[in-house]
Amino acid sequence: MDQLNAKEQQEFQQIVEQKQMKDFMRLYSNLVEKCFTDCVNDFTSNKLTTKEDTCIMRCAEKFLKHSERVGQRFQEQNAALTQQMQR
Amino acid sequence: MSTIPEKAAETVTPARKPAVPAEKVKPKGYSNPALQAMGIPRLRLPSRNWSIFWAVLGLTTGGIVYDKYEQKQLRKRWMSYVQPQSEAEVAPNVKPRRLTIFIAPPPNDFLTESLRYFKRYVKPVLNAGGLDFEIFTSERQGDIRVHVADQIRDLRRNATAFKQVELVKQKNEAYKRSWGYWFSKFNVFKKKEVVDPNATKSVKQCYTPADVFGINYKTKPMAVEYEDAQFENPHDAGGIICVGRGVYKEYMRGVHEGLLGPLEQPKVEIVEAVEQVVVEAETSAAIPTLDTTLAPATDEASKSDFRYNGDVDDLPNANLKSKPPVKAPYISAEDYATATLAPEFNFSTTIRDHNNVPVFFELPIFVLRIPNILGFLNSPQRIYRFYTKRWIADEFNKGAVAVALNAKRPFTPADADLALVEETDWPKKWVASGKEKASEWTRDFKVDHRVTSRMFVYDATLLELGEKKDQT
Amino acid sequence: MSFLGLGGSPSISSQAKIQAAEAELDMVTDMFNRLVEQCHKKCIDLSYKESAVSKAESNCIDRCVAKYFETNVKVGEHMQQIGQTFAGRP
Repeated sequence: MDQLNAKEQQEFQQIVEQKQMKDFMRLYSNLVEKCFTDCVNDFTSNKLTTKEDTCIMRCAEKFLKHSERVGQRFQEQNAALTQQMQR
Repeated sequence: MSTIPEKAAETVTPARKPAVPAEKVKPKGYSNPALQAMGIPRLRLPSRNWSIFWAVLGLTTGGIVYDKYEQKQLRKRWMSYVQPQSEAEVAPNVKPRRLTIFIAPPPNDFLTESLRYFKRYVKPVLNAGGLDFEIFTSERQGDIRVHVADQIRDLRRNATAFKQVELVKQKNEAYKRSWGYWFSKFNVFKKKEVVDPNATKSVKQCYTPADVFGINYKTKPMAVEYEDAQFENPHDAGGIICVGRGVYKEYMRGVHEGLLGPLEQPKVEIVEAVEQVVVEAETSAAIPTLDTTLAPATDEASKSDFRYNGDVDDLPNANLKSKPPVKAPYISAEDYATATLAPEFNFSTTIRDHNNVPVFFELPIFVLRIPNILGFLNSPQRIYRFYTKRWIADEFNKGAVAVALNAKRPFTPADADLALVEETDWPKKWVASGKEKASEWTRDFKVDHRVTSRMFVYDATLLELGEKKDQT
Repeated sequence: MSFLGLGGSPSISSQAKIQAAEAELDMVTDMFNRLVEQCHKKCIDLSYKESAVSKAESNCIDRCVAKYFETNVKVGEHMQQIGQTFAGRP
């Protein structure tokens, strides 16, 4: 059922790339929402304060590093799981 | 008119003492002359029985509350020494320093007792220090020894296999540098490789998860690095904690068996497997069982913390009977002197596995004594220990800090007696019956110099803490 | 049945296979996103004192991912069991 021939493989590769692009967009909007929720809570002015500014920068960096780390561990766990299932 | 008052005067009863005018209500309860003498106004003191009751209640709860308060203060203080370590930055592909911890139930008691000591006094410090750890628990004597020895034997087998792989790699690289390879690359008459258009690949082979995740659109996944492999002093990596003297003995015997013993089980007479000596553990429904793999295996899914695996519905006896008996040692203690040290390893440097992480038996050891005491006649001692847990907390916390901060020294022959104090707490009948059966924990404990000369030991007395760090 | 011009197996069309593969990709991505969200909630301090992930947080993340996978596997097994009991009933 899940064997793909050469043509199908090409199609599949394209789909994989599209998915990655989509997920990247989703990640971006999710990140914006998260940092806004966590950092920006004061609406006395319509410009971001320096405190909020630094908070947002840190939030974004931290989230990206966190995602990277989770991605790495996910890969490892997934590989281990498939290995286990094949035994 | 004059007679009436007279009559009234006659019929009136003799005058009573006049009441003190200022006092409206006569106070109840006892008045204490001592308090009166001091000038303290009348207090209502409780009766003798109530006083006894409140005194006893106050002392018992006060003792517990004070002890817990002190434990908390100690814990905070010891955690503050290692906290700065955990605030260091770590790249996403780096795996931090990883300890291995062995825990077994104390004699004639449940595993939960040992685990409680570990969870309350050692784990907070390890977590505060940002150390990763892997726990191996066992419920019967011998499991830890077998596990450790098996790991070492696997390493020895992999070492030979690894050497083969290295040889092949070197050969390939030599070939790539040779003339033959050059010519084969530029050979015009070489047949072109044909790609089969009908060759199929499974879906799973066409992608890896990293290809799909948005985060990897900009950043590429990096190869895993181990912090343990990067220490200058290889003995700063990892570490072993043995929770209990029996565990220490088993661990050492396992290391000796692995390094000095044969790779295959000797086909001599089958030594009778040591029976389950921890009697009451059989009836416990919540025995945690977990086996994890020690470092060198390639699967990265080894768990870093334990979980309770025992099902409440399973019959405890059935659970234990279904387990295979403990494997007999491949080499007995008397043969240590005549055996050869594992020829597969190169002992001139620290032995490392394929990830360049120093192998677990090269790493320093720390032994904790479990102050578990049983018996009705020991009740006064037990009550005393119940109220003085803060001293144990201090000892264990300090030991954990020594492990986290790498306060170590080489193994000396006297270190075979680490945590010997614990053996005075072991129930005498249990020890006697163990000696009859020649059980693991009560047998003579011998070490071989060739193995122990490479070992290190964490020592809490070597801690240089400097000023007390304030908590931020 | 549907007739395709690819010369592949006649019972399953190429479209269906690609769709199934896409569904699998979606599932993996979805699981990953939930995992990121959950581990962020549980492990990372929301006061954002610094921009780097500290060692303690890294340990927490590693353990969170391992436990999530285990939960996934266990729930999958349980669902299979339930599925079997349902299939067994008339």
